Amino acid sequence: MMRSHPARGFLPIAVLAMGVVAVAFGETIEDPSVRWAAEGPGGVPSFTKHVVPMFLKAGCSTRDCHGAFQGRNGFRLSLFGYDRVLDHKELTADTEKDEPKGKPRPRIDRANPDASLALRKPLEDGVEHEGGTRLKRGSWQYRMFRDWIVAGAPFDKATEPYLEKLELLPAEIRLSPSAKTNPTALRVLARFSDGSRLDVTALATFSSNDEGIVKVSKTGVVSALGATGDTHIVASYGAEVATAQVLAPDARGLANFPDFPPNNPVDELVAAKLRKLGIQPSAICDDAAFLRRVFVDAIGTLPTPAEAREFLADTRPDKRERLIDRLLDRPEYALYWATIWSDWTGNAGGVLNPNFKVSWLWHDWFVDKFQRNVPFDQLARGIIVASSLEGRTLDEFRAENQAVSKRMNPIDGAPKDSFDDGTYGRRKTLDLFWMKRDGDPEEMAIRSASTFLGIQINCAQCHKHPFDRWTQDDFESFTSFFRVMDVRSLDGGERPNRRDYHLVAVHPGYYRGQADAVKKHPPKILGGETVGYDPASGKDPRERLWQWMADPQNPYFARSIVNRLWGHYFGTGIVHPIDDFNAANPPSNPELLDWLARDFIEHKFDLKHLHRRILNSRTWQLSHVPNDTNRHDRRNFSHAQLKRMPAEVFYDALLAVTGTQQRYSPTYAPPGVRTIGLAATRLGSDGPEYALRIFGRPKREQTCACERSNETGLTQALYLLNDADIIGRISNPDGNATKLARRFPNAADDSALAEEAYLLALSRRPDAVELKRVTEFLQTSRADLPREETVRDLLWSLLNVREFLFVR
Amino acid sequence: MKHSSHCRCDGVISRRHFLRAGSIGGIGLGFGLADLLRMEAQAGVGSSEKAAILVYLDGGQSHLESWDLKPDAGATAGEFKPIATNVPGLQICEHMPRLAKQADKYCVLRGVKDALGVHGVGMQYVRSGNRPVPSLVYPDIGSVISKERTSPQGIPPFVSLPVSRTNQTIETPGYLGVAFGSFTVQEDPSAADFSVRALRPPGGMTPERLQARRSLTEQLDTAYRNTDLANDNLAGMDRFYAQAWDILRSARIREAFELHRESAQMRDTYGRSALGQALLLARRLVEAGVRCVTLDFGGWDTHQNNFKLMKDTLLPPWDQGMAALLDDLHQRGMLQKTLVWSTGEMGRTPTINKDAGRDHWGAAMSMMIAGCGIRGGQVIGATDAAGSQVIADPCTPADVAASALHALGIPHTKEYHTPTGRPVMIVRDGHVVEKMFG
Repeated sequence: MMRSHPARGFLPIAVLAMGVVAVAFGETIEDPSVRWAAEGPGGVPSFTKHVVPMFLKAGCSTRDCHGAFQGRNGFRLSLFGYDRVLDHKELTADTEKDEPKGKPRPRIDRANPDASLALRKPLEDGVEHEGGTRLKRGSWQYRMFRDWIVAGAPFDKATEPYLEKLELLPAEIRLSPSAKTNPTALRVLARFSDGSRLDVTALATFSSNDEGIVKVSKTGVVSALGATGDTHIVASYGAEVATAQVLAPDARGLANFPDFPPNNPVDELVAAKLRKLGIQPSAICDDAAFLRRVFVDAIGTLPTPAEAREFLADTRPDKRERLIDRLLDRPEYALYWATIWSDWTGNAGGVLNPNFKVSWLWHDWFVDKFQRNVPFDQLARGIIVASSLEGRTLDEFRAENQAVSKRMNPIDGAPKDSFDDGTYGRRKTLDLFWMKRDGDPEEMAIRSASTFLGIQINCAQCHKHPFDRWTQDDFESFTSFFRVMDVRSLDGGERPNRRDYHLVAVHPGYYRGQADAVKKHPPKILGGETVGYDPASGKDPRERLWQWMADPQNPYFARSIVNRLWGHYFGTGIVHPIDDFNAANPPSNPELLDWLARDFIEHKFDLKHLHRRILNSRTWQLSHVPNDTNRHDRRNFSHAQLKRMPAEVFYDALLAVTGTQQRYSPTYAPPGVRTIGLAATRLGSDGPEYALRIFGRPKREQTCACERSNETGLTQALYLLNDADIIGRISNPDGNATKLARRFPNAADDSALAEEAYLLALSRRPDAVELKRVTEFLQTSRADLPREETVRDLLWSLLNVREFLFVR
Repeated sequence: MKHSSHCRCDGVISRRHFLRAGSIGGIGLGFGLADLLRMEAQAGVGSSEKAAILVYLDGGQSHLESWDLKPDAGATAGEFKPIATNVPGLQICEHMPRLAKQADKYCVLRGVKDALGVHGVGMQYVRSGNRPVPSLVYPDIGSVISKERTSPQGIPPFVSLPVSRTNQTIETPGYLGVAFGSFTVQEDPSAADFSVRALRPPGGMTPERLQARRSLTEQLDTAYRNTDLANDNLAGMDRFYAQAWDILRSARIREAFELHRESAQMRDTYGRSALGQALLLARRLVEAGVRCVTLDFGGWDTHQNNFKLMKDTLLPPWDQGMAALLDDLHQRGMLQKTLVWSTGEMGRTPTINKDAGRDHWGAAMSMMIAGCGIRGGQVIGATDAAGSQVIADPCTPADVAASALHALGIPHTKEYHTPTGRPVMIVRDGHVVEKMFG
């Protein structure tokens, strides 16, 4: 474990006579590898600062070793050393087993330090250690750990400072484009609650987030591996992580950076990063590409041939902006985004029967909010602080609720009335979010944190989050916000029947059977104050939770939603995956994320404003055609990524191109519903469940944005070529093939037919070569097949060119 | 490669023979490599190509209630007794009576250590042979085989049969790209009306018309052709379209999925459970030329009621199906070129929790592996008295993956390049377990 000291070029270091301190910025900072560099009075180490991190660095407190839930060979350490109290207790306890032979023995032998098993095991000093030699006699770590034992293995939770902040320096490393090997030594500084600072480079562990660009040695020396782009180095010490950005510019792109006139500040922030990296942006996309992209991305719908013609013929310079405004006001905007939010909030049923019909109420609620463009903080409040009564009396609520229930479950069996008329949708709050059949408080806490804060606290359900500060205590006390209400029958009974439910908050005794957990872990803001819960006060603790979320200072709330929308529009989040904000997964462009969040807050959480900001940016309107400097860029938005249409969008596009409709059993969906507006995941055997499943529609069972898949697969190709559904739609005698054949019956109409088919399927006119190929095909088929059949061949082909499925 | 000499019917050797014969004959006959490959492709499994069937026990099978019983461990011994097998000295769980009769055909690994005691990453480790890292997603072994081995025309190289999945993580082609992902069949092969919707034959269209459509499509499909877009999904779709066209023109894969072609007796032998029929299907698929079939059979995460679940639900269909598969492959002479591997993502704790369950345990687990020159009737590795730690012949999931690939004739040290040009070995830290082949 002896290590040679890497040169540290960026901070002045002076090693004093006793070798204890380094000087930086006029301040003395201790470096333990220097302090215990030689035999002698290194002094008494701190358990928190020195000993616990040493166990992590040596690999002892990882999940594979003593950090496992059950420890290893009877000895357990907290994972990554997040629980100092547990670690100290374990270290100073007796062994469980007779180790090595004889009766249980203390791991730390204060009377005879060198006999301590905790020392002998990692040294493999006369005892076997499954983990091998982890400590070398004569190393500074050995001296440090031994000094601690000699001092009596001290630890006092009350007086020992805890780690407040970890810093990795330099925060940005720019690798020279020419030299592949120019190692940079990193430095990790820790600041503790008592104000003290420590150079913990020698006690930190390092990893690279992209080992194609950069690697980092165990001692924190960074060297380039040749690939260009950017990534992060992650350093861990104690239970904290810190990151440094690594930029590996492409020399070819640094010179002659193209003109990039910004449409709005988004573009300036994107360009600033691209300039640093020598990644040159692609050109702005043409009108046809913009048209299809904005329709598909913003409202999940293909433009009709008429809409396409109109837009392509428009010569006004602001026609893109105008189209964006028009689309955001269309009903499909609310329908489509309600479906996306159904994914994000886990709309998969609730306590009402039939279960799946509840999905429609849930979806209605979002449609209403997006139609009215309710500010996002208010929308979030409607979910986080939901209640059933919303200020109504119990009788008023009962009457309204029964009316909704009756429409959902018509006693007279009238199918057309079997969905709500919008009464539920207009409610202020979404109480159904709290009433999922399988929605236990833990699941709700995980989902809420993921949906509104973009963080995955589910790790902390079982152990400290590996890359963030969330502990099991944080998880439990956050979850208590979701334990203090209950679903009750309207007559106050515990088990609601299927219609007479309501969600009650702030009522003594209503704890979902988890009163003990609330007592033990009172509701507490993540990383913030304990809110507590006193039913007698009448105060709903969730109110405070929402205030904290919607506070402009909240580091997650606004960033999370702007990042979600960004991820939707670009296919890659600024933080990616979009629901995994954590200290080891920093944003690719923090300035951009911060600006978008600030702008969103300044515009009072106006969602349409946010959509417009993104859609009007030059960045979003870039072409998909790459250049040599940006071909492999996925993180910096230098060109558009081809996106496979999501399942529902694809299916609607298929209906539009074939001119057919999907009818659902009235039990499952209201008449005339668009696929992008399907609320339920259950559609009955007549529904397109097969197509939607193979194209990756989620069941909404997981709290992960990854549940929806936009990947491709063999099954999709077979479906597009040959499935009875698609063949049947193309052959439908009332469909577009028949209509087009009648509209364009003669050879003289061939060009017009080709143009119409292209506009229908691909939202653009065919180019000269394509026109020639299509008309040739129409001519040669004329003798063999009726016109209708030829048109079917053409539509089938256009559905099977990749440009149909992949939007540029 | 060292193991070649041990291998009774090694693809590498026979392939070399072929090549040598080809080159000699080629002098006069113009018989070249392309012809050879074509012949091999036509021949399907009769060629030198090997195949793998991976039965993934999603959730983490308890080693202590299957391959590595500890009847003398006192409080942690559990409820089951060991029974003798057809290999003297080798004992396995009493609820695996059929597998006990096939023990001469497989190798039991009792010394697998360092699994990750977590489902998602644990599964990725076992199935890719690489410990998951944040910077790169490693491909499932099926995707590696799919990349390394071609199937006859019209046969997808990698088929996934998710019998019952409980893990949120599913197999992934990782950095190889979606083109090497599996053809996933969701339909239940034990259902009376089992048929695969994606494979239904093209109805009502002449081959000429189908060809005319294809030709028009290819003429019109120009939009993304002329630039290198480095788009994984798009590249995948290209490959899938090519495969789909082959499938449409060939009855072969459809026939492979027609389980009713098997006798009722054969179907009974595998068991009429979803797993049993999926295993029978796997054999048919391998016969047709599929190079890797993976089956996910979940439910092994027995934190509660470990013993009841194992005895009533989990072990019986698995025991019956696996034993039938091994015997069937053996009878058909296919075991020598078909790797059969059954593993979960971890072992389970020696201590029994308050719910009569066992929790996650990565320090020790067992696997079963057979075929392709792996010597049956042997046990490699051992755990201590409690089944807690490996005390002899340890190996890691990476070692087993390396060995599985080795058995298939794929060197695990082969380097690929990720889409961004980073070189990576198929299995980074693995060593072939030589004893398996000894």
